Amino acid sequence: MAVQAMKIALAGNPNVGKSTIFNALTGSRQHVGNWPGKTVEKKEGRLRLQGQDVIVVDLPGTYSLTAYSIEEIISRDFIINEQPGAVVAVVDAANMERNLYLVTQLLELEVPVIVALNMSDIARGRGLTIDAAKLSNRLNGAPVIEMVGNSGIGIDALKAAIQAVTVPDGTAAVHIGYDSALEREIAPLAQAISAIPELVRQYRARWLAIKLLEADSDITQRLAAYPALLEAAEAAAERIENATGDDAETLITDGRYAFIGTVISGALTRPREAIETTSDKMDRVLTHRYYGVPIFLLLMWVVFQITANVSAPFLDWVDGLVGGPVTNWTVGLLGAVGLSGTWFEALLVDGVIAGVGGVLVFVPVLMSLYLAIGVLEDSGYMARAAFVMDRMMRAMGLHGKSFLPMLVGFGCTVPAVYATRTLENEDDRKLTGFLVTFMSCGARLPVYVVIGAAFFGASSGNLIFGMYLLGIAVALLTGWALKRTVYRNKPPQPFVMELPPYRTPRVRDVWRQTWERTGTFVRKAGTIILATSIVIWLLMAIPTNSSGSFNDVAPEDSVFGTVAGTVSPVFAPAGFGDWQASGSLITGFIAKEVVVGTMSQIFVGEAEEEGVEEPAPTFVEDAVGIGTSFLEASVLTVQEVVNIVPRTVNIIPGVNMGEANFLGAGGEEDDTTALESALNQAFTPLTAIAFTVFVLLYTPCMVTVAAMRHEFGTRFMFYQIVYTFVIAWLAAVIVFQGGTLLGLGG
Amino acid sequence: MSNRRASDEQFAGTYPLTCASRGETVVLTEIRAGDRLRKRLGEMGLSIGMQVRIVQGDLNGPVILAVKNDTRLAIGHGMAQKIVVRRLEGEA
Repeated sequence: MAVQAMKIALAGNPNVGKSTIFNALTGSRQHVGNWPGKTVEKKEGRLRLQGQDVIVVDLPGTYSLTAYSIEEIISRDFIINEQPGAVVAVVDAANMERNLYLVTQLLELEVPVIVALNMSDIARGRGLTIDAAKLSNRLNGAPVIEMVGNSGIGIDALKAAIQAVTVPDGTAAVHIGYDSALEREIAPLAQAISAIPELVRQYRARWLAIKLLEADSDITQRLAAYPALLEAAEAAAERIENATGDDAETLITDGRYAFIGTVISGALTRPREAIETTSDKMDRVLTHRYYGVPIFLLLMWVVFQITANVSAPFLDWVDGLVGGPVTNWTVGLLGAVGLSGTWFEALLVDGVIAGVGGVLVFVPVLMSLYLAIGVLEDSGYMARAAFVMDRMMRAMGLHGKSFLPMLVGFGCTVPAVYATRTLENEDDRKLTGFLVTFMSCGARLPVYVVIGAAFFGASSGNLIFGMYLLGIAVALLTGWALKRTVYRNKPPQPFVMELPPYRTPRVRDVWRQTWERTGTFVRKAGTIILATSIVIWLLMAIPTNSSGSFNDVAPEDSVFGTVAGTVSPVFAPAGFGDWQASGSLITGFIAKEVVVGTMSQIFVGEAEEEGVEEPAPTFVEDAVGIGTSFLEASVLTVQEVVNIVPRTVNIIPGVNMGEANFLGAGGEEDDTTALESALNQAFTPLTAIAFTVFVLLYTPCMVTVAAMRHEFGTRFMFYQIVYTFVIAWLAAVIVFQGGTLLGLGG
Repeated sequence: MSNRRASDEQFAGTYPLTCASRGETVVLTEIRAGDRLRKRLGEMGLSIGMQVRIVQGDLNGPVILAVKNDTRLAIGHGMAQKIVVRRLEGEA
């Protein structure tokens, strides 16, 4: 039969494993993590059942279907307008009572509901006993399936249940009975609604009556064309309040929880003792009012030690690979086909390999960062970081929940902009969106790493840590200032957030996520960065005056050099007013990764011409070299992991713990890359820091700018572009001028 | 006012959530908030008459509550001040 594919929706509270189940059903790879608010837009996938395809729609996680946040309206509209064949309600078995609240609302919408009791292993581990058959019975036969989404347990049963609902069996809808005072008013309202054909076509009468009594803001707006109905509902709500002393909404909420109470009584049994869970005990320390913030900072410090130092040996290894064998082989190959010395060789070697290769070198760094973030996310700590930061965020008129999008910004600013959707208040959302760009994203990290390695050696981790802290500080200050000007007189929004229990990070989840995020970076290298590299090479090959010809021109006389040279005086007060630095910053608007790529195209290209040609090693020498240097890198990585301990201990003043050194003195020292030594000539340590500060704060990349426009509008986007540029310029100038005054300019 | 009050006369032994100490189990007696927020809290499992345990308490900062046995909710300081509770009888 050529019918339209059936749709199934996945609904559930935030952080109940919906994404995991979606992935298991559809075979796609959605981002999974242990904190609320990952799925901010609905996503679609395809599930193949016997004989038919089913479209699975993953709705954003919501606690309810009222009109409290954008996500709730998205979810509710989808169910009402698209009328999916069934809704799979994903319920956290270890947090059932609260999770079933959403289920009661789905039942009231009268769609077929399949309850997926996810994380049943955790529930059992906590001593809870669940009788799924009894639950299903109480829910009028709605299938209840016990699952452990991330090990695939129960997926087949869920598929079978979905297959079964494709054949409707006419089961009566579950009726949630309310207080008699309420029921007295629901009936006539529902009757009045039934008399209006346009409404009946779209809504269930009883559901709509309940929503009207709840004074649901979205629904009352949509029913503005029926003033009589709205008036009747208002009068009814008043009568209810007079009769019971309670308002209708409270009675409805209570009624739903009472229904849940009868559903689980006897079906869910819990052990008598052990009220305080392990997770609670961990929270005693990790969210402590005094230790909480220092612990958060310490964890961040360790994360950046890992990203800077542990990955450094592999960075050198990849760099050696790109600069040595890959370049040599390309040159050799081109020579063999007679293209040696042509512009094509220059394009490949100085353009593509220097540009794209210069960026790919940072794959180990980003993998380490994403791995560390993944572990923090999956363990449940990220939500606590928001809690711990609440006090500071409150000082600038936002609350801790705003810190979650900012943490997402450590990975990439684009998802951070979208993550602001989890905030209920539109002003908070805009303000947070304005701040997320100051959270240093993964693409900016390579700049710190290069500069750190070139100027600060083993303490480059401190430079990186400092940059991240500076980003947070500028964000907090900006928030503080905006809250006192643009967003004045707006009281802080109430802060309520669910905290997931701590758990041991799952290797598979963390790895998948690291891989996915690193993959995005690599794909970018193959597309946008490749294209930019070629364009920049061309612009650097085309002369602007008669002093050179195509592919034979001094860089500063090329189109690129001329344009960058025109802009460069702007940066003179900040200490990096040469055309090379400006050029890298201009290309950084395309993608922040490109800054380093451009730098290696400009600086290394120049350096090579001055360098002495070494005899090229043979293919075999190269191949052997790759192997031995990889082993060396592995040893050095282990050494750096070990050294995190003494370096952390050494933060305490007066303590000096020795560091391990596996490969003997200076194993790493002579190992500076070509770019690093070129930078050493172009920058002083002070101008290097000013440059890094500028990169941290200046205008985000064009993808972020587009996301800003999409979420907050064109005007907001322009404010953002101008503000970030001005702040970055000011900060860089302060660093350079201040440093010079203090005599650090040498 | 539509606020639900446990009783109109001053309820002996009630105090704001911020003053509750860690490990204590309390009963919610009043939520001084607008309709919208109260509804939201209700959906998250916080309504009058409900028992909650204080997992992390703080006079000047946010608190963590154990709600409906298995749910852990972080509540901002401002809101914690508006939630009035009474110590559960029989508890230490």
